[in-house]
Amino acid sequence: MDPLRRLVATVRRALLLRGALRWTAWLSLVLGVAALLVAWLAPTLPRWPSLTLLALGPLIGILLALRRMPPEGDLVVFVDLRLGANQAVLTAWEAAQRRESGPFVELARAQAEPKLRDAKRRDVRPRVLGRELWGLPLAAGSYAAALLLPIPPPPRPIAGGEIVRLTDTEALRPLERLQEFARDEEQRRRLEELAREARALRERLEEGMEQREALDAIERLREEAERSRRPETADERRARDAAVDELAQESEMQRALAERDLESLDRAVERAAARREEADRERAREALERAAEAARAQGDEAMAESLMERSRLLQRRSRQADLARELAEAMPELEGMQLRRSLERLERDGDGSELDQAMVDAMRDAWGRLSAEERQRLAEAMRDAQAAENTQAREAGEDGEQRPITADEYERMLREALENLDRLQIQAGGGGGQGGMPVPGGQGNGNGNGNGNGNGNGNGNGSGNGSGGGGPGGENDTGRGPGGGETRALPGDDGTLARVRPTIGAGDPSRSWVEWVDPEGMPESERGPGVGGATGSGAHGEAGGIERAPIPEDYRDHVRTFFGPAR
Amino acid sequence: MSDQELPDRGDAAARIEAFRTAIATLRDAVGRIVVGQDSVVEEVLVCLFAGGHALLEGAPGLGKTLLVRTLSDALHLQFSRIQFTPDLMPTDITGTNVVVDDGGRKRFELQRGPLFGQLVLADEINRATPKTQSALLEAMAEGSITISGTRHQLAQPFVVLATENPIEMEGTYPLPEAQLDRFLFKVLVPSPDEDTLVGILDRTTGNQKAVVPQVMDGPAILGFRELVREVRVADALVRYVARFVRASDPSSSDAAPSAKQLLRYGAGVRGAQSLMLSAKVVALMNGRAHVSFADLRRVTLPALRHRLIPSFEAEADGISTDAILERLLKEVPETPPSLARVAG
Repeated sequence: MDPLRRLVATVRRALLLRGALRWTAWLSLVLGVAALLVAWLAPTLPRWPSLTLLALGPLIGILLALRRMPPEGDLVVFVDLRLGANQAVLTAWEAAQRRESGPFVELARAQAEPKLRDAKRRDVRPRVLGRELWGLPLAAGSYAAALLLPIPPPPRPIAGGEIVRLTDTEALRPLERLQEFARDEEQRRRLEELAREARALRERLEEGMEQREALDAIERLREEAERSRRPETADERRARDAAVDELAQESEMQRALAERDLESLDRAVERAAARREEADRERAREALERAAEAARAQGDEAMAESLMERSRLLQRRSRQADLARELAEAMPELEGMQLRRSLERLERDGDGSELDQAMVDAMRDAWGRLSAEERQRLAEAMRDAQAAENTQAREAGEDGEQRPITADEYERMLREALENLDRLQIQAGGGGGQGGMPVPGGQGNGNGNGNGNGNGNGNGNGSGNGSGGGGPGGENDTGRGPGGGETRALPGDDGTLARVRPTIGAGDPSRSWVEWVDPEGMPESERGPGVGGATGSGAHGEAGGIERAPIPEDYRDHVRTFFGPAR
Repeated sequence: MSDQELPDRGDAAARIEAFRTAIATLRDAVGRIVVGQDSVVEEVLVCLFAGGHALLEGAPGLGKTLLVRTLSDALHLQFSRIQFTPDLMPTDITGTNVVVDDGGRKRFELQRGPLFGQLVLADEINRATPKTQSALLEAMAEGSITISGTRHQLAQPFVVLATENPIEMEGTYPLPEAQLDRFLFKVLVPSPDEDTLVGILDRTTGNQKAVVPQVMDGPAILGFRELVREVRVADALVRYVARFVRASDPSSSDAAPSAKQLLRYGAGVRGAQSLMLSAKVVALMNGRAHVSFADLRRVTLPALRHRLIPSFEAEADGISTDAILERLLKEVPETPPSLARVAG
């Protein structure tokens, strides 16, 4: 029966292979589809584990095929049927297994032996390949699809859904104190409501709240504050217009007064004074030089030298003033601070014996090494320290004398409060202007506060402080703010001072405006490119980010009344 | 051929060859009278050598009675014929004790009925009442007859060859399942084809008188019956028979779909026995000392067709038990289930 054993072994191997392939095909198909489903339903999960399933299929397939291998008797039946032995082989094999003998067994064996002797392996080998094997390419396709299924982009976060937590909410405190300076009952009631909302917002910001909710609350506060502004009466407007007319020779001061921006008016006055003093110094120096020449001509060399010494002193002070102005322009973040004013006074008075070019360069270099955020933080820290000093001084003053504040002072306080709200809005991730909510898909979400500083051939310089959003600005010539705002370059080769800064305007599309100052007597043809037009530009995504000033206040009021919400 | 002519028991091939020769001789003898109907003759012979009884069903005039009479002529057996009629009483076929005058003394003497023959032709068996039909049960199953409390053993071999007419069903009593189960085969006698009919006409309308030689006697038949029982059946085939019979039983958990749909009652133990025994005869007829699947397939229809009760659905659709068995043969694979799973 050796031939039978050989044939049975052939059948067993073929059946094992067939079973393994069959189970592998099915399992691989099932696992492949499962991997595909997992990749589809949970695309962020790693895909490589599905490759281990690829190896699992054949392994389990072989195990199942071994487990389901028919017993030897059944394999003999298979061989018998394949050989067409009419079960002679089977009968003989059974008799041999039972160690039976007899004439009938011998007869069966005699009939089986020729069949077995002539049989070849291929006569009994079962078909290995089956239709089930179509599952293998399908399974491979499923695995490939599971591996190659593109990972979808992560879900877009809900705009403004992130939590904002601010520890520094001192900017809201001025709003809480505004009620103390109310000038009538109606205003007091409104300011009390404003203070209550500011206090609640401050507490919630310290605990943490959604960005969009924070921005919305800040915007609401701003609108409330805007409404608290006392509307100008007709008499007051006439008076102001008359005053503005009188300042026709001083356009910068005229513009500041027309805007009721006392702070700008202060700066304009200081700059006008500085210009005149500069001219006076020049004249004085020329007079000194002429006097020295006259003294020298008369032979009094000592007098001449003394006069020239005065002239050089005057010249040095002028130089000191230039350096101070240059330093101030190099640190635009300090705009509106005491330090800046000190530098302007230094510019005006020329009392800068300690200031030289190397120091200015070093300070500018150090300031330039700081990142925009660091500069902003430092400026804010200095501003807060200054605010604390101011508060102490005010409290000291209140203790001394309880004089009622004027309307202009109240206006200034309100402006400061609103500027604080602008800063707070930037901190909360919004921006200085309206449209602070991020626009999905837009370029440059939100608005930023950008500053730009461009140096020209001469000693002119420009600074920009704009509100806008978008891509990052470049250093020195492109503003950069926390919100990524950018400001166009400000050429300053002719001494043009350009500013882009946020201002207040209830109901306006934006509280940003631009002011620029042309040097008196400078002909148009001598200006460089962009002279007089150095502006900050609104970032992408900001509607009407820049409003050019000056726009007469009454025009603004007309527009505000016409387009504003019904009150 | 007599018992003494059988080869030595140790020479299986010779015994099988003797059997085949005897069969061939017998068929040749029957063929002198009966034209065609080879399949019917073969199945009747299978019943004869398997030790069973056959029920021949066919229209009148197809030679059923002639076949049996010819077979009785060819076999040296005591032949008796019973024409079943509705007024036939059980004692008419079994016999009865009658009072006889024995020299002035009265005594009961057994008057043997036709059942005491060895080759009994039960013609139109379905025309007798069930009471009379059931009188056959003991004789067919046990080979004995009990009359007035006395059991009488019938001479062996004892073969009942019954006929029934499936057309004229009026006034007939269909055989009960218990009675049908006693028949090893139900042989369907088909209408003759053209050539067969020509042969019949030639032989029956001329002056030629065919003589049937006696080719085999009772002891030889019994000897061959022993030979049949020696034929080997592999376990796989026995299991196949068991699987097939269970598959035909709609109440079985292993029932085939066709059985569930088309059968009300399936084959039982007697059916399995019939399959196995008749397959052994067929194996011997084919010169083998062991049964093959082909042998089982050959005898499946005659051995089981009268043991299945079709469902109402099958009867309404006119599906015969033969058709159902053909379906079962396809649905129950010869290969073992474990092999069918992996090898297809």
